[in-house]
Amino acid sequence: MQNVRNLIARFPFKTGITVGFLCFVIVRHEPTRLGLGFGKDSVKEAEFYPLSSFPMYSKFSSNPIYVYLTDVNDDPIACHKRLGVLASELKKKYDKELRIVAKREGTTSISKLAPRLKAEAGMVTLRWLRKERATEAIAEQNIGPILLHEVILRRDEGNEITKAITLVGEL
Amino acid sequence: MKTFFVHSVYARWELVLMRGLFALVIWDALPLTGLIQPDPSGTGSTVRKPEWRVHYDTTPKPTGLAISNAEWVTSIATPAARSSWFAAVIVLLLMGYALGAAPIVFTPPLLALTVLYGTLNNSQGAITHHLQVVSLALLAQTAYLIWELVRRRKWRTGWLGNPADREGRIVWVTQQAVVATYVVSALTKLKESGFGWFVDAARFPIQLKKNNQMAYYNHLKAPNEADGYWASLPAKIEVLFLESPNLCRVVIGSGLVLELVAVLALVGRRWALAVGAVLVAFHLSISAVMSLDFRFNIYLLLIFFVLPGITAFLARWSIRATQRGKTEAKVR
Repeated sequence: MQNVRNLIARFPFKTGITVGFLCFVIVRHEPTRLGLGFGKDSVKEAEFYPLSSFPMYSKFSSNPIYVYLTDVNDDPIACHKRLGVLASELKKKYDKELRIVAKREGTTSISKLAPRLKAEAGMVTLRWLRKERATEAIAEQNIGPILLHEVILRRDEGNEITKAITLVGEL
Repeated sequence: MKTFFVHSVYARWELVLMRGLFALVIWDALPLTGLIQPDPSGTGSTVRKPEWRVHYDTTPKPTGLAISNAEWVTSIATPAARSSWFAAVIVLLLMGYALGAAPIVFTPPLLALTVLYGTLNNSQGAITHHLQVVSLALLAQTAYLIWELVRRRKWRTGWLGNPADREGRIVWVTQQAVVATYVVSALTKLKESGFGWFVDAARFPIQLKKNNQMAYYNHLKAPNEADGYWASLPAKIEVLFLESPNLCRVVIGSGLVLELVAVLALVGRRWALAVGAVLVAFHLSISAVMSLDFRFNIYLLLIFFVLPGITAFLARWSIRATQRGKTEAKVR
């Protein structure tokens, strides 16, 4: 018992309390000021490099999403090799746009969004790719229309992983 | 009152070595080209002037500092005008930092540069996390130096990091910043999913499949046996974990436990070596299986946790060997 007391007595409580308190400090913009936040919306506000509120791998989705690109002949485009964009970056962008659409529609399940709503997010992603992120690479290689495909992975009853592929944009 | 977590005392040469190596890491984290670059012909390498190369000059989806100060963030992205002298200024800053002279002068500008560059990267529509640990370490160092400045009103530490006590505390706050990233990461998982995280860890193979597929679409190249063992490892792990969900829970769950106990790396050099080495192995295995970039975490763990543990071990071994030699000489 004495050892436990010693251990507790030696724990750096002052540092712990200070750091614990700082976890809830939010830097707000225009004008820049500090505030305290405890709710879910505050977590989104807290993305302030190098401090991040993104809860990476804090949940294991049963139906994760990724995206890939093809040309009009349905031949896949090597997104990093040819456009300089990582597939993970493309997926994050599409995922972000999907969440914006889902929030507007008042739903949290992005995988169950209607195809027309997914297409809305897909087109925003493709516009970003063409006009902002890979403009030079696309122009240099004279790449024609690009198709964006969404893939949802699921585990079926036979323990196999299945894919549901949806075309979500063409630009 | 004594505290359980006490910063270690380091030899001057250890502090100089850690600072110098961390300066190289900052160089790598910034968009500076290296001194030695391959020839365009591919036949060899040549020494060239470093250049400042930033690929973006707008913040289409601003985050953090870019929301209120987009001009500051994009101001570092004019490589055509700045590549020649801007890179030279940064190299001088890095050299000043590496020498440990007046760290209050050299550390904040490097923090500002890494934060501006990181914010610019993260304001392109997708957020990445691989660089953040470098900025966090510099943030902790800057905060400590400002506190030190206010408390003691001394800004000069002399060349090569004198006094050693202050340099030791800079290492200590850097270690705390690195450890904090792991503990916070573990707490976030528990907050979001509770202990159900361990149960849901059996879904990891689906995440792995997703990562493998995304890696394929980067280059349209599927790894196979001919590419070697490491290239085909993710597919093998995917099959193994699909067949054995409980094995998957144990392996993935141990990562969460490791993140939670990472705080023990602050107990002393031996603990730092043990926890640091396990965390490096943890990152290397995740990088091999999931193609995620943990380079900078690995660098910082090696410099601030593994290295002090190894030097302490070598010093003890050297002292014992010397004592044995002296004893044997007396006997003879």
